[in-house]
Amino acid sequence: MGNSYKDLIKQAQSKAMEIRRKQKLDLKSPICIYDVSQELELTIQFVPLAGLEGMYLNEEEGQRILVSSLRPLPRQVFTCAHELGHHLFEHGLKFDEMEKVSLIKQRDPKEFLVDCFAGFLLMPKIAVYNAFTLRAWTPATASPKQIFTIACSFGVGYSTLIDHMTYSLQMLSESKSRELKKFTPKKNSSVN
Amino acid sequence: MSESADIRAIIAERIRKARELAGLSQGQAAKILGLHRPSITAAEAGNRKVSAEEISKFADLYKVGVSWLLGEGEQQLDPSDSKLQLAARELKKLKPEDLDTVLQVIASIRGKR
Repeated sequence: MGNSYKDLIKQAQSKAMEIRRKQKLDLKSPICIYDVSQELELTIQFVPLAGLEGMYLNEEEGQRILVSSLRPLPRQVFTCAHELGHHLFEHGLKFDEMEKVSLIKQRDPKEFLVDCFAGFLLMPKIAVYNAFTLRAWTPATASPKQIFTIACSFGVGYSTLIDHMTYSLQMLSESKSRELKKFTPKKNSSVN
Repeated sequence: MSESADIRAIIAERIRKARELAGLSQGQAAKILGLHRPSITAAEAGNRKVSAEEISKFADLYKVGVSWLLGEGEQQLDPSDSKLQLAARELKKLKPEDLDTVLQVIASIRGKR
């Protein structure tokens, strides 16, 4: 990972911490991204968008985040945080196509930045450690079921948590990440 | 059709479209607004007059402009709208049905002026 991407990660983390601090949200608890967005006077609208994850609209009459109502709930949460990132980093009108809202797949710096921001806002490092510690689990030996449980506690998807823990928080090795990703909660309803 | 009937039809259509864009069923909208569902159905069919107070409540609930509900502005923006030109390259990536939805949402927001 190049220095420019490391800088983007730092920027994203700093902005996410700033938002938590300004809204008096501690760093160890999951948050409701819709409350956070509304506190920033953004309107959240769920609309049936078949080919989009979401969109940020910056109109004179007000800023608005559109989230596709056709996507799974954890995906909607991450999309809203991602679009909030576009708002906070003043990226202007943005569309985010299906499946492109995911960490590390993005190489467009703006998209990478807001993906990292979404990850840090929803899952600060302390909160992720806390989620494991409370359950007497450790990231290095976590099972797919444990990862899925913690992802649910943050309201995000299984792969989203793994990506965030691997690339932003560096709590998982890439080999552990690959091993965990062999499982998907949808296909393996009895993950261990 | 008389002019007032035309206006009522436009308002009815916009109330329906705004509810759909907000992702609410007629039943859900009625419950939130403290109305009976047939009241919503009749308003959206243009079968009853809608008061100014109701228009204001619909606009609040559906997050659209009062003036847009009253028929001002376009129901859906033209993709060649000057303010959208900046995003024209992006717009081309959208599926036609998504583009329609997005243009309707932007038109309804602009009615908040």
